[in-house]
Amino acid sequence: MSEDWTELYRPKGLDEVVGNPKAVQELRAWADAWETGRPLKRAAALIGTPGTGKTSAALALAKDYGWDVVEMNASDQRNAEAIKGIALRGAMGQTFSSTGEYLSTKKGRLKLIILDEADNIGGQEDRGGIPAMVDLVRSTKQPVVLIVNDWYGLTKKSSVLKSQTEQVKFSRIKSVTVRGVLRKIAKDQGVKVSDRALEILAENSGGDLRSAIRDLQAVALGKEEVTDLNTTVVSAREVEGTMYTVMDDVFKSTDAQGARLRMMEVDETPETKLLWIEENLPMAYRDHLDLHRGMKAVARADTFLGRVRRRQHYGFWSYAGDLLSFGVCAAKTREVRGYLRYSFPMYLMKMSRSKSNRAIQNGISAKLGEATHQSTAQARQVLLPYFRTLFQNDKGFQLRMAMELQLEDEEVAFLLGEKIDSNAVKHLMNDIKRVLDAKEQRMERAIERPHPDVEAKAEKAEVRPQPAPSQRTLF
Amino acid sequence: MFHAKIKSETLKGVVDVVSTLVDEAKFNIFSDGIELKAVDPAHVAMVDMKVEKSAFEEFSADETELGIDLDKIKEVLRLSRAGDIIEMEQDEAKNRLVLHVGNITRRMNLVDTAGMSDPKVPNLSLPAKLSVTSDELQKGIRAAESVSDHIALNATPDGFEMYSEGDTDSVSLKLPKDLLISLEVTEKVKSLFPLDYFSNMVRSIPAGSVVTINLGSDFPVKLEFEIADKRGNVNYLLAPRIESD
Repeated sequence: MSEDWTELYRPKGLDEVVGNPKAVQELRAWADAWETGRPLKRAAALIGTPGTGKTSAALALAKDYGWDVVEMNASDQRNAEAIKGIALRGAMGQTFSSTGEYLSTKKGRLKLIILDEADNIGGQEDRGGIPAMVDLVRSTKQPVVLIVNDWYGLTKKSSVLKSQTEQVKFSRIKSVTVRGVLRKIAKDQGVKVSDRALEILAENSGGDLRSAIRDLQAVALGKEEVTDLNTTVVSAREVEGTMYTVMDDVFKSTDAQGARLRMMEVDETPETKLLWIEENLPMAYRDHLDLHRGMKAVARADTFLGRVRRRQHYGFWSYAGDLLSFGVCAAKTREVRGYLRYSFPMYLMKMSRSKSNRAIQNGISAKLGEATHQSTAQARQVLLPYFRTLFQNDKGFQLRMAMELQLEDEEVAFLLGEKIDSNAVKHLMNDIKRVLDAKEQRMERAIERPHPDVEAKAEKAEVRPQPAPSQRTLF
Repeated sequence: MFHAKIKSETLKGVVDVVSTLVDEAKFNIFSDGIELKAVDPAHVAMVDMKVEKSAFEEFSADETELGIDLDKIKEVLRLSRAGDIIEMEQDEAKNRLVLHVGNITRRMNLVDTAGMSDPKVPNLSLPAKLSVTSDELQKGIRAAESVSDHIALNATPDGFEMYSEGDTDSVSLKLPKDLLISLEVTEKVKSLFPLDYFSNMVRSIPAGSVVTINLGSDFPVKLEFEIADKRGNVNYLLAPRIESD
């Protein structure tokens, strides 16, 4: 296989970065500030959807200014330890470049530290990643770049990242510009690509230059000429795109068999397909009897999906699928016309937004459950709301519980309803550390005197069983 | 082609030196020994190591490169005892390294060396030069570790000092000229380094050996010492911390 074109044609300098001239200009200004001293905001956040040139711009910047690059990609492990060990360590010291050159900031030879997909740091695998990243942004002595898709999601986790970074926004690249780049690459590779094909590729990418180049490579590799025919191989990019197109087949067309076949081609589970149909059906079928019949088919499909789950009999999937496509399509008596604005299932959206929150909730509930001899689910349903209220209103309780259950920073933040790097959380964690240190010292000093332990046990006994039983009798 | 036998403790010494800085490394194999140069992932430190053919019990090789995951070698070392002989063999067809310890055979896939750089050792002019036993360095590090996360290395015509300052406390180990093995310093020099890296480097120096330290002002430090019973030679380079302004 030949080289990845997206790497091969990465811009060699900022001048070659396409689209986003304003972003490039802002980035230059930030880099200039580094060259002449230290800018107010030592880290820059490059924000934008995939394939808009964020990473390319960062790498081009380093090349233009002769800076060394330390890059942490999503494929590397990026928990607190890794960020401290690589990014922060690199940020505090002078540099040996990968070619073995010694670079000193005194001579303006800096090191650019790039955290790619920074908004993905801080998940289950990258524990403690966010505080480490905040630490990096605050204390770095070398320029730092955070590459971010979901800026809102990231700043929700930490407000420091918002206040301490220079934000540079990258927007989707215009189709015309994408086409221009594709044409250049095709020419360079000696492949003749028709204008129509380039247009389709560019349109298909939705402003994502990387995927456009990938698609071009896929259709053009090893060929001398690409006509429109080959381009049809490349289907629209996102999954939503395909689910979106099937919507029309189900709701608008009267060809139920066609709808069935098209739906089958979509690579999604019947559960997801059901959510899509359910979400958009009421908007599509205005006739209430049509809607009734349509929903009946959906309900029937749901019954089958329930049986699939319970009995693990996946044969029922085909019935569910047929009901959703053929069934819903055939349910209408009136023609559905005009433009319909389909929406992504609300349920999935909410679930994905609350994903990290739910993970934290589960973590706390598991700890609570273990301490109170209940299941995690029960602890979450019965205990957690009251526990949270107590936790927010009683300082002593806060400290005891955080120690007893060994709560993590993010769990404390959730219970307090604060951000993970807020002062409230930090204070509490510092208090805990102080108490633990003091305890350790006391233990060391008087091993034969067991009373600190007894004290702890007394506390445990006091709080443990209380909330649950008393709540139950209330209802 | 590469085929060699080596004492497990010798191999351990070699691996320790490299794994201080990197998890994976490219070993350049020559007919008269092996060489390795690597920059750590944070780009603040470098290692340059040479091990002669005579450090091995048996050694026959053509010029080649081996990309090795050091954790895997460590796993094999854990299976061996001091004095055991480890046999290493490159399986070119399958791009593997085969290790034998006693009756155990471990086959490991080699790491692709295409992405690994071949750094050159930079030519730094470091005005101060002194030699000290590794035990003295160890002592200085142990003292510093309880106080701060960085350490200053000072050299004057009269002696060498390791100094560390935390928020409230400070600690210093002073070695006057007569406690040093050699000292060639014309003017006072001082540089500040991250302690964790420096201490890891010092820990990988074989006990009881002599370390030559090259130092400048606000400049990298170079640690030079021998491994594998004086049949191997290591240069560590560590970049200084950027002093706050």
